[in-house]
Amino acid sequence: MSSKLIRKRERNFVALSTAAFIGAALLFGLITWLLWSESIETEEERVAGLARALGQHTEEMIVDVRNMLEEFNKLQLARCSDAHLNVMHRAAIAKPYIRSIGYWRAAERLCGVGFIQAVELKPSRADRIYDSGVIAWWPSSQTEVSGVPLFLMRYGDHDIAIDPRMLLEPKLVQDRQAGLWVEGLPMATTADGSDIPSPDSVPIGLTVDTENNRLVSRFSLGTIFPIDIVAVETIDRFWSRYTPILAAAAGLGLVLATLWIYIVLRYSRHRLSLSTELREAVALGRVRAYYQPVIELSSGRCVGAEALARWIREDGEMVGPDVFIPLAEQAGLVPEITLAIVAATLHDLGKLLKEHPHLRININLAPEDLTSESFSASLGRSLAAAGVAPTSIKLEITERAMVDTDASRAVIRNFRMRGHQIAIDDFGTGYSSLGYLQTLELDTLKIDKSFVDAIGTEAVTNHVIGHVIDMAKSLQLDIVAEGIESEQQAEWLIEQGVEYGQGFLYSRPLPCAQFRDYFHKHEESSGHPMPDRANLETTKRVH
Amino acid sequence: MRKTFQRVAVITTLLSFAACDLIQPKPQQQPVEVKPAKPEWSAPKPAAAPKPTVTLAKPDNREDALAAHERALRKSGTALSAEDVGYYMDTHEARFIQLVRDDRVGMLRQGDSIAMVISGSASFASNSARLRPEIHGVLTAIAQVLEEYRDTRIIISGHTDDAGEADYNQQLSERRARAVSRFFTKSGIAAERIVILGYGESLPIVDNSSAGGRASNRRIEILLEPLTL
Repeated sequence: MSSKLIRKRERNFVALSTAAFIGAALLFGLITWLLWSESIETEEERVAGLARALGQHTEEMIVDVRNMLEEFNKLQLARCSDAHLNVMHRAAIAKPYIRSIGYWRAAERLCGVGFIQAVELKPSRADRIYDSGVIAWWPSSQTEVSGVPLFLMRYGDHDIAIDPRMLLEPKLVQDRQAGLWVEGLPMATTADGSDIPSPDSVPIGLTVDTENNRLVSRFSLGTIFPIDIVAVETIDRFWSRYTPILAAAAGLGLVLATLWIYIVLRYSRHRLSLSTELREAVALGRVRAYYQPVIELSSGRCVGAEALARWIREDGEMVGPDVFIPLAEQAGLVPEITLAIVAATLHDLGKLLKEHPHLRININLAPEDLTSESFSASLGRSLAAAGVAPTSIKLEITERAMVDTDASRAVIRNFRMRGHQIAIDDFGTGYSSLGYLQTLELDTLKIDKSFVDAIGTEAVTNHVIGHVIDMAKSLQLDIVAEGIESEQQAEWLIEQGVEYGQGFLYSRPLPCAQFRDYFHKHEESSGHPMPDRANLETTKRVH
Repeated sequence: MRKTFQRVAVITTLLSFAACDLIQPKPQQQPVEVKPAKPEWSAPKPAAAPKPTVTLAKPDNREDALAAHERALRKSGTALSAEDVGYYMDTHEARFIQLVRDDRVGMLRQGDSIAMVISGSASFASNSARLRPEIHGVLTAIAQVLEEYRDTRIIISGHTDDAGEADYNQQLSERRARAVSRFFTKSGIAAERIVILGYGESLPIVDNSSAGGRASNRRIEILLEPLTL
């Protein structure tokens, strides 16, 4: 029975462990995925921020230059006078991206200021002529001055040449390569940005270009000018930026996964434990009482019964106290089980006990019941509620449980004062200090089955039982022999003057209805062929 | 160069100079949408068209006249280097856009040339070759730019609708072109840069069947061609 239980538990444990590990893997995967997408998103946000900044910067620059040109055209100063040149000079110095400012008559540069003053930039084809009359030439070989293609704007009779590299501020671009397109025309790229793909060939957002081992991001802004920014970054750099975060998060994920496994395993152990099942069983009333009749050996009359706990599991399997009592002790469930047996007994046999005041039902108490403060009170309440006299309930206390302390002595005395009889159970299996029996107030001594088994053999215990019986007699205790299985044993016990007994010879533990039947059959006279006195005498003589 | 006339003749519609700011940039390359009122406008010139008169130097063939004019200009030595033409005409065009913004004047860039169309009804009273005072301001602004950008020759052609006699219309168109030319020379434009042509009703840009179409056909066209070496 217990091996079957264990097998089932093992199966459940394996299943749950697997579930726990799969759960942990899923959790870990989820965290990794979340982090990866989070990293990509963060990177997108970073590049988008860069793009916004660049776009804004560019837009401001163009609008600025346009306004400046308008102001120059409105100047009331004599053209190419010192004052005129001075105004242009100051403007050029104020804006670092201005390379030169020129004053023109048709296609003739009359004067100007700036770093490229001597150069007349006359590109053959304008890229844009706006409706305002502003002309713009995007950076190209035609606007190149000392290796730098310039962005040129002319409005009226002034023009301004702009160094577009200044738009891609290193501080903004950081360690990326970036390109800037205004109105679809390439405005500027960073120094090594020759292989930056054009915006038409790149989808908006972040793209992982596995072929070239890089991240390409494109962002478009359309506030005043349509501006595209394409930023390129090697995947290595991306990784180096996010590896610490990813590693930290992976660690966290590992911890979480471990925690998850731990929790699941703990929970499963708890769930799968018999003690949990037992706790449920107690709560749901699946711990029942079975009754093993106690027989007056000489007459075969049933004088009572020992209530034994039986745990009926959900599948109908019956678990005996030998398995579940140790469990209950571990789980601290013993008082509940005892009370459950009391309740079951009163429920099953309450009426019978009231009708037959001399009938005694034995309830086993555990050490915990003796030390429990509430047990005694609970017992009293249950009996009162059922209207059963305490004298009907005999309390069995094991020799081991009957620790020789003032406290347990007081508890036992208290029980007796209320009318309960006290039996010492499994006598002879404990430390058998016979002397201490005298110090306790007892009514009955139950001889353990191991001694009864030894009857008729040459075992040492065979000799001990005699002493036990003698001692009980001397203490004027009733004696009940447990585990009587043969006529021979019964006869021997009768011969020794043992009055009561229980065992398979008479009956196995019975469910309540069967016990009631048994009791009614054996209420008065023996249904069992009992040896008469004469026979006993004979037997004694034979021995 | 000789195809210039056809090109001018084909100028379709008055381009309005919306007073747009830089805030609304408009790509220059954007094709001009041509919306003829009727498809006939692009039909080939009728062979029996009346002979237009070239009033300068009075040759009987306008192409010869133009060629002669060009030769004369070359002799005078005013010319652009080939690599400067693009820049010159771009900034020229932009200068027009900047300074001449008027619903009555349309402008079209054709390669290195700039074509302008001035509404006839806005410029002249019916059957009159006298410029209305209202158009003086626009013509002054045009003259200012023409004076600034001197390395072009200016071909002024007059066109009418088909109302009335063709001969009369021919003469009227010539007189109107001359009136514009005179306005420019008075404004300080060198007379030798200007060629005047009268086309009468021979080159309608839209169908004359509607009042609006006739109004569009009454026009002065000014073609500016860079003088290259």
